[in-house]
Amino acid sequence: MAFGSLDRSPPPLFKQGISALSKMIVMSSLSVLLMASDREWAVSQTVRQVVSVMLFPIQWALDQPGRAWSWTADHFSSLEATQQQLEALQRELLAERTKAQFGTLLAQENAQLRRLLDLQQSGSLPDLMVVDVSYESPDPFATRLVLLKGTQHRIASGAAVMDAHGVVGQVTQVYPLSSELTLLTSSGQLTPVLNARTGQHGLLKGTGDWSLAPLQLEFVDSATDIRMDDMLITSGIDGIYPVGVPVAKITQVGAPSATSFRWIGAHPMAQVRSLRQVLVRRAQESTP
Amino acid sequence: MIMPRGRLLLMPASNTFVWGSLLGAFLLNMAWGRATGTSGLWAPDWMLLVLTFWNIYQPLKVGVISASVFGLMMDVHASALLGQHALAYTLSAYAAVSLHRRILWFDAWRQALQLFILFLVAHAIQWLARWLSGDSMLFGSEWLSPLTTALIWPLGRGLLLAPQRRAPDPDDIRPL
Repeated sequence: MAFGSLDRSPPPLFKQGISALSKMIVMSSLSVLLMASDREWAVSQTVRQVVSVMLFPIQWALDQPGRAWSWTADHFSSLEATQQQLEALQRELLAERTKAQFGTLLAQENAQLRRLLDLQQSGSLPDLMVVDVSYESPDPFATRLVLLKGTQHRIASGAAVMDAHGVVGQVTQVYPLSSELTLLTSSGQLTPVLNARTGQHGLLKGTGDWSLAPLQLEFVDSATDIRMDDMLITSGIDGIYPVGVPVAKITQVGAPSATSFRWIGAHPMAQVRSLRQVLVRRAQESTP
Repeated sequence: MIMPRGRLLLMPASNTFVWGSLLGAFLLNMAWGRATGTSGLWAPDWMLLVLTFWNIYQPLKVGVISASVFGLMMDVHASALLGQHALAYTLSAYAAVSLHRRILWFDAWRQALQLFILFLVAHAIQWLARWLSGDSMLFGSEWLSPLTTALIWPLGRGLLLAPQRRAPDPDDIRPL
């Protein structure tokens, strides 16, 4: 060893394998590579899929205490409450049935008129499936919910998700046994909509900010006819959402200005803050 | 061997306990994340705490590679950017392994003070990585997590060291 080498560390006395420094360099460059390739290349997807399948039994097991609790609570709820609930549900069912009969009649009439006018037949009812919501993911950047069904149950990336009241969002990541749903109120999420009253097309953007308005209708100029409580429905031009599903209600209309677009705030129709089950539109049988 | 005054001679750590506690911390993080979603981000990062503890006390058993594997698992669970936790845990594990001889000289609260900086950097790396990949910068309750992790350190350290503090020859008068 040369003189003046006190600042150098001596060679290790015992063999300890690869040094922590080289391990650190390898693992951190691997992580950076994964980050750079996430959402772009297939490599990250494969890693994600494998780890997700490995974690699924743990997720399933962690779901069980909550489920057991709600089952017990259901089991011991009083007879009177259950009867009341049943009665309410029966009344609701009767009302819905009447509406459905009327709807069938209208659909027939519509089909007949379309035939007479030589128009293209409108699409049939979408293939929907009820899926349990497992939990909200703890990522602070977007509101995502984890669903307990995946590619094994014909859920594809991009599938539309709804609840009984309207559009909830879109599936953004699928695993073999589970999938992730990004809410339409999540910051940056876009939904093409139609104003049900005026027929004006628009683009609804999530803000993720519940204190002001979770949704914002973009690019509305001062000449556009828009009012409070206007209903926004899906336009169907994206090919993802079925046509005519309620999306949101306008809750804030900004003052018109000559130079810029107006601020239009909206709240979703779906109960996106307390979802236990959702309806997912399934992929067609023919798509791989 | 030079030992700080008052330091106990400890029993060897059992592999079952080391890996069991790491897995337990991961489950705790998972369970907390599921229960609270984005509203519970101020809570201590148990995974980071237990990983750092073993990196300092057993650097030969739990090193950089174990840290990044657990980080990858956290990424998938949290549906975060893949590699975000892995990078943060890898770098903090490297720092902990390199500093372990120094940190062992201090008592619990002084260790917590030094580790607070390490935890803060580990968190900053995650949010910085997200910022570089196109997300907005965060200024919310998630910045409290390093502080709570450091505050819980003395307790966590005591619990994780407890099995090694047992007497080598337990008897009826001194069962522990």
